[in-house]
Amino acid sequence: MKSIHIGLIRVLALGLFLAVAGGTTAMAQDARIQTSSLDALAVKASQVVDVNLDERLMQFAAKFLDSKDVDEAAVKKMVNGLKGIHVKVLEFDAEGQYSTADVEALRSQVRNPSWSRIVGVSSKRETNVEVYLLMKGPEVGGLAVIAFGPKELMVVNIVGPVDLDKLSKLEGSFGIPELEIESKSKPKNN
Amino acid sequence: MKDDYLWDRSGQPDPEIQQLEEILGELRYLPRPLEIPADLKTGSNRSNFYAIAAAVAMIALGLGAWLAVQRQESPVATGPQSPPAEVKTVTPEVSKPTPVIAAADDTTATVGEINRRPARKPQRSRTARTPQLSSEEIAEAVAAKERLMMAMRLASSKLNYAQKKAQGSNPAQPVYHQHKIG
Repeated sequence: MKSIHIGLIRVLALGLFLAVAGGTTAMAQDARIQTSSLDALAVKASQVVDVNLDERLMQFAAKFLDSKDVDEAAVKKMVNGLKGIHVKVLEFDAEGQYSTADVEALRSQVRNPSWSRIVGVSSKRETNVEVYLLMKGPEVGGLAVIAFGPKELMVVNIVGPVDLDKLSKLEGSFGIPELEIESKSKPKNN
Repeated sequence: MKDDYLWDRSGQPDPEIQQLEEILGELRYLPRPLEIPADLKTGSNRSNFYAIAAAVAMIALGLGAWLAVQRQESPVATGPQSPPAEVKTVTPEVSKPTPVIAAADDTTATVGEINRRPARKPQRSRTARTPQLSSEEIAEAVAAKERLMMAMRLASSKLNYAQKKAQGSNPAQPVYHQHKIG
């Protein structure tokens, strides 16, 4: 009887441990991509851009975005609901400064059923871009863009419900007019 | 009645019942204190140990998880430990000192508002909603804003690059309508 009692407590303790550990793992499996593996490459890089904005800082910054400014108003709308934005860009003077293992370290984090690779652009000469979405049910829970070229390695990680449509339209409004060359250069058939 | 003895021990005793009384009488309640043998081991100490260990483990794991989440959410120091040749950091446009962010009354204003209407007479406060910000907080917010804008710009540009490349092979489909590849 006593041994059954002790055995039951052991099973309960193990169950509790597994439940807590499972919960911890589930919490860790969010949209955040860890880029600490790239820190060692920063020494070789000619330029490093490292942006880490958590929700608090982002919302704080959003208060300073001007709603009357087109660019800032667009970002202000985008930021609402986001949990964080993390960007790491490494630019090198020479080629071959990073290895495929460095890229693979990033890819491995999005190689699970939660993440979906929605587009991949492969090129030997130009920049390769892979866009991943974290789906939480029907909603987007996060975005990861891994871009790497001969002299560049970049990770953009947006945590939270990001609107890809709005995000892709932002570039045109960042002081860079959308050039509709094709439509304007069409010959007029008079 | 012969049965009375069975109920209240009156009347003529029944020998069979008396015999049962003798047999069961050994087990009857005796008003004496409970005597627990000194050498009796209950095993409760061990059970308590496991319960306490499980509770401590749960608390430790919960604390660890909480700290991990807090660490993820807190802003990470920018740049590597050993500085590279050039680290591009966004410098906030706060070279101009922002001497007085709040006006004489409780009015607080954003940097954008300050830049836009410097000469305007400060409005009377409906602004108890937003706390007054120190110049350091303003600088932090402006820096964060610049970083935010740059991050969004980079994200947008790379997304558009991928979109354009993808549309090069299939112009009908925008990037966000594509099916899962991997």
